[in-house]
Amino acid sequence: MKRAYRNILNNRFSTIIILISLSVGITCMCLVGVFVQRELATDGFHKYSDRIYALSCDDPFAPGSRMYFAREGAARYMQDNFEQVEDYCLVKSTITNRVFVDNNSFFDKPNTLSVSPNFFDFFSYQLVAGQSDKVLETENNVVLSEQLAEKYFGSASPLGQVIELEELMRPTKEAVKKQYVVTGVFRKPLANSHLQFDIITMMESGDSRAFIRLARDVERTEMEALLAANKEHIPVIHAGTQGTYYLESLSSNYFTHQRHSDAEITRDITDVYIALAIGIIIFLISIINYLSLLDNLLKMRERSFVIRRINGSSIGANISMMMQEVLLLVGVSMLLSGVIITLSLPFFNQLMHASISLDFMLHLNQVALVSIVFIVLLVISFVYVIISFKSSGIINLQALDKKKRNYAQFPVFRVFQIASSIVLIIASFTILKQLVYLNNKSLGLDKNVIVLTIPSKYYEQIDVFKQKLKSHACIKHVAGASSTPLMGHWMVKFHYSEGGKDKSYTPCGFSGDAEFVETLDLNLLAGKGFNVDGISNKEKCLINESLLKLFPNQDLLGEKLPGSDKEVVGIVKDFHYSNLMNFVGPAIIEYRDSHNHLLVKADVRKWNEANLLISKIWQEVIHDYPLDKLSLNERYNIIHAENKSFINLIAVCCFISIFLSMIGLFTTSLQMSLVRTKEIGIRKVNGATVMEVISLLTKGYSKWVVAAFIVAAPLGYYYMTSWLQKFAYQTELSWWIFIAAGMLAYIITMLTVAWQSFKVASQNPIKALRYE
Amino acid sequence: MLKTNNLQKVFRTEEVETTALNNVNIHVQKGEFVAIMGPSGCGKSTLLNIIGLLDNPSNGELFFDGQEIASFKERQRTNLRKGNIGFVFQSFNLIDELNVFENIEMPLVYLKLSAKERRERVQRVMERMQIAHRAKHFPQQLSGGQQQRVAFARAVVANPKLILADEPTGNLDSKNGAEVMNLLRQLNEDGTTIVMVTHSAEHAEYAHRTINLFDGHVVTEKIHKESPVEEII
Repeated sequence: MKRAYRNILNNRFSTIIILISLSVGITCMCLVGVFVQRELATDGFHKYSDRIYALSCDDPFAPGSRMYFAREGAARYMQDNFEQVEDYCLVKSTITNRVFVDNNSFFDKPNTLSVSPNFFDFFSYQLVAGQSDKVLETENNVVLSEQLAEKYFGSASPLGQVIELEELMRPTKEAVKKQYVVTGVFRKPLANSHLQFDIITMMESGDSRAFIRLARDVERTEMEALLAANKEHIPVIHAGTQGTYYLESLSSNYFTHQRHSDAEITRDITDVYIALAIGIIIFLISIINYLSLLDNLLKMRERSFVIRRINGSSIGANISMMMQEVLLLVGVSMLLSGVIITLSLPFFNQLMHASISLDFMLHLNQVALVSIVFIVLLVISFVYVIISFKSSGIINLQALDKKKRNYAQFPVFRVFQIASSIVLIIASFTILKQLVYLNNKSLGLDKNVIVLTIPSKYYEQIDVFKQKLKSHACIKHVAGASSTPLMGHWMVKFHYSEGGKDKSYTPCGFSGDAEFVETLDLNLLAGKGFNVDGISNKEKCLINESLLKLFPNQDLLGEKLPGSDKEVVGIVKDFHYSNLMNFVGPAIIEYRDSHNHLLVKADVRKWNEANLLISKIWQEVIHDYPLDKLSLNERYNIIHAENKSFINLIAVCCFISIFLSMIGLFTTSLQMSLVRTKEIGIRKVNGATVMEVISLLTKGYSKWVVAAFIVAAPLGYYYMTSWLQKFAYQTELSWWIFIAAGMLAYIITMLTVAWQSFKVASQNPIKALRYE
Repeated sequence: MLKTNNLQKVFRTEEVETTALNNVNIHVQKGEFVAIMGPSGCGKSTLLNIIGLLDNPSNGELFFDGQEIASFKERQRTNLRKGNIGFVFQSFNLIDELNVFENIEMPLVYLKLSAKERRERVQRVMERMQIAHRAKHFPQQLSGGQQQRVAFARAVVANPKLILADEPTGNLDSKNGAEVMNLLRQLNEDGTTIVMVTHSAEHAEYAHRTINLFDGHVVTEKIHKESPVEEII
């Protein structure tokens, strides 16, 4: 081992490159491996995870899709009537606006779940205080997370303490204050859970999410058939025709788009696959660098191996010596990657929206994964050393006759490295272009409108607030609203009859006062909109162009909206109200005079003045609540934050991939320059200029970049076209993206290899001629 | 044609400073064949390399056709070397990856001659050196004598004014060595100026004049025969 250490030190340059490449590659592979493992095992820590299913049913508002929703009594009916159902648990997300502890109030809006009393037995969340069957005995019991318990009570025991929760009731958002006794404290699971909560209370009644646990050996399809056969008896949400329930496995719950609640997290499974693919690519790039340098180390040692053999050493002893060096290199790389993982874990979590802790990294599964990476590297190295020994002159003692070393270039692998970088550059450019497109796209409304969310206690003060704001010149318009585009909307199903047939449609609904349209700067195409007096607006509505298009042969203006008793008094141009992944659908705007939002359109030239004014008036009117303000632009960015995360992920991977590829290319160019030093000298003696020598040395790399581009361009086109497909509104996948990506790869490659080439080309030719 | 004025070359490392050439003054006339002799390490090859613009002097002046060239920049040095100076080395310095034809063609490529002209010139010189039948062979497939003839062909293919030969017979047996020397004499008779470094007194006899170096100094000069030029130092 001492000799191995000495040999490694003697080849410092190769050693450093190997350590950098391997440790970065191992870090990426381990982080991505742990991430994928954790994501795919979401909720797998529950004792009965393979038998727990969430109930879903047909969504009456979106034909063809399902919703996670169970009518009150549905799960109980299943347990009472089917022996296949062992148990059930109801879960409902509630909104806790603030928490009162003693005389302190906390506006931390903790995620709160109201659940069945058996929650802690049904699932496997760990209680650190309290007993699972007793913590939710009454509706006044509350169980807190360890973090909240410590925050509210410090080192004192939380059990038996009294807290008050100010909950916002749905759908009115009216605030109700209720007293609870702390009966338990739970530990947040290290493993991933799709339910994310800080406070648990007991559910009293009502519709909810529902989970059932099937008896052993009961198949999901069998149970679904049973539910379908008995659907007439099971309460379910429907729009006229009784539907059935479906069972969604607990593991698949996480990878769905169908739920939206603060207490539940979801993940697009594509994210996991993309991360895995990129992790593997980066690992492969690092292995290519490693193998090419290992090959060179072997070649440099060929003579010494042969001399050892001539002097009595066996082939096995030589291989063993080389493997000791490999073990040392891979071992140090593993240790280095351990350090990098520790340092980069917070950044990785931020990048992937994950919450992997160091404790989790030290679990048996993760250690096993890291061990597998270690073993894979050793096996690859061993196989490579054996192959190299066989192909070189070491075994048949011919290496002494070799005059010149032929360093490995691995052209196919180098092309793979550059191609990976080009694909990632194409991806980065495309995502960036799409982001710019989304940012610049006209939404059909004013994104600068500020939305104030008023606490229910102050609903009666909304008019006062409004008038105070309107009296200042920096405020252009103020409107009251209870459903605002981008903030949230309700859905309604209208049934009507046409040609003797029953028909229906499901528009999205918004509601506001007479200034709603003007404040949001919606474009009124026809009609006059709501009256300012308010009173005569009660039975009136506005519709958007998309809704009008549902009735192409009718002039709806001034008529009753089909299926509704409201008269259409205006038609507005389509405006975006949610993610741009979806097309604008039919929408109506109803007049309402009770609101929970104030929409403020400020003079953009006096933006700071307006914001200060809003804060000041809020303090005057709503002094005991913190300012709850968000511009539609900020909300729009939150809705599209996923895209920004994605560009960050791709950009980071792109950087790592380019960095590793260029390290590999630099090493190759250095070795090739050394191999060709004498040739360069001869050419210079015979009249070659520095530029001609550089051109000669870099010509091969240009071919690699061209080959890589030919591979990467169609792949990039295919993947980015697929990615853009998920947007209803897409930017064009322009040709310049491909050219720019290819050029960038070319420039980076040339800069990487040109430095070394220039160094060799400009040296004194006599030095080159003396080089052996 | 060639003149050095107090030429100095000092090699410096961290620990030691070695003076390879110490105020060397020589003068080579056009059409002359000059041999440089001396013990190993006396500065023969260093002098040849500096004359051929392969290395820089530490001090002193170097004139080529009356023009001071020691202070030339890299590009100027390359341009002067190109087509004016041909080199022949003891170790042949052929490129293993190129065949005989391509090795000989190389200086013409850098002179940017057309492919046709290159082909004609290479063919002519190969026939003259009697290696045309080896055009497609690679250096490692040739004997030492054949390799040196290829190196000669490459040195003369661009019709240089000056050929610098650094121990051209050092790696050859006596028969091949004599053949090489005859080639050099023939080239000189055809008008090419030749400066040759050699250890062999017998081969030095082929030259008009021998300059003896010792410890970086010119110690003696010996005229063997009448030079075709009038002016001799």
